[in-house]
Amino acid sequence: MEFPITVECYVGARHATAHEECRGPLEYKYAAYAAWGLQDRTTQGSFEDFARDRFIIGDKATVKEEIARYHEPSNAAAELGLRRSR
Amino acid sequence: MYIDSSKIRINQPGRAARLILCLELHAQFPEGFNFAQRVPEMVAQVRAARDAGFASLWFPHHWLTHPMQMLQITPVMGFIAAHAEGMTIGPNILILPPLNPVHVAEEAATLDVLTGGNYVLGVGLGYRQPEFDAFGISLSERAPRFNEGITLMRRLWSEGRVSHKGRFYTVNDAGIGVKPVRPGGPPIYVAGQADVSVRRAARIGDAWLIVSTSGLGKVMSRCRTQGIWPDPDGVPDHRRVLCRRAPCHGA
Repeated sequence: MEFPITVECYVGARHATAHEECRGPLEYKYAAYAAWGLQDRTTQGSFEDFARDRFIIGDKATVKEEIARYHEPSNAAAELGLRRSR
Repeated sequence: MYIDSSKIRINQPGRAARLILCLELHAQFPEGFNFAQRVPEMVAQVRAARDAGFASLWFPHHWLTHPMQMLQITPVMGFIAAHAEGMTIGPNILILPPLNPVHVAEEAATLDVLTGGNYVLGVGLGYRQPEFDAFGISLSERAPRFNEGITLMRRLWSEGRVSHKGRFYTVNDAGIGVKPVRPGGPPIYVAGQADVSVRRAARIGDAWLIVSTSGLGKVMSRCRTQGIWPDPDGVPDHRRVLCRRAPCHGA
């Protein structure tokens, strides 16, 4: 069984500047989504708050760690499958 | 980006989950960008992803996106297939209700042939009024059109001649000539975020395609409260993470 999930990722050269590097294009894109009627896609307010739990942004090491979370048996996705398998 | 193909065990003896990394090709650009100049970059990105071990390529879809520019994905997927040997290709997602499922089934069969049986059809309901208005389809009919369309497409892929007289679509003793490589046709991944859409995905899809743009925590919380999982006896064999490359317009 497949458990496909789409996550927006940006890998910057440095973690400290990664958010700022992708902020403009992501805000442009999600502003368009919000204009199309998706109410939870507006980036008004802090971009960092909006990006948290939605996107994976950082340097190479951070992004690698974040993606690996999807592989952990204790994460939410795994719990979901296990819960229904009992 | 990296690929971790190691397997982990998740609580059931003999059952394992594998993380598969995929790439959603960036296909959205602001007004004024020259798309023609971006085609070589797109091909280079596909080859780099293939060589790095990414398992699949996915393509976002909309109509009438002005001022944002989006390429139409069916011709793009056919073009990209030539540069993505061995990779799975599919839309994430194709908006199905405004389209005739015969047309979608035919194109999916062709793409399955072009990819050597590696096509996956990701579909969703859509939500934008201008898109439905343009095709002359009522937004209120999107769910029943979606359900009937999937049923009809699966019959067209797996049967010879089909007779179907539904609420929206009719096929009179006819069949598609080119069958998909994969018996029964490509898997259908169904996207959805509302509770009813997630239940529909579990009922009629081969997988629920999760778009986490509303937040992974929120998505998973909803799953827990709904107790939804497509296969009540199963555990996920694969967690396919589709890495949508965040746009960087200056790159």
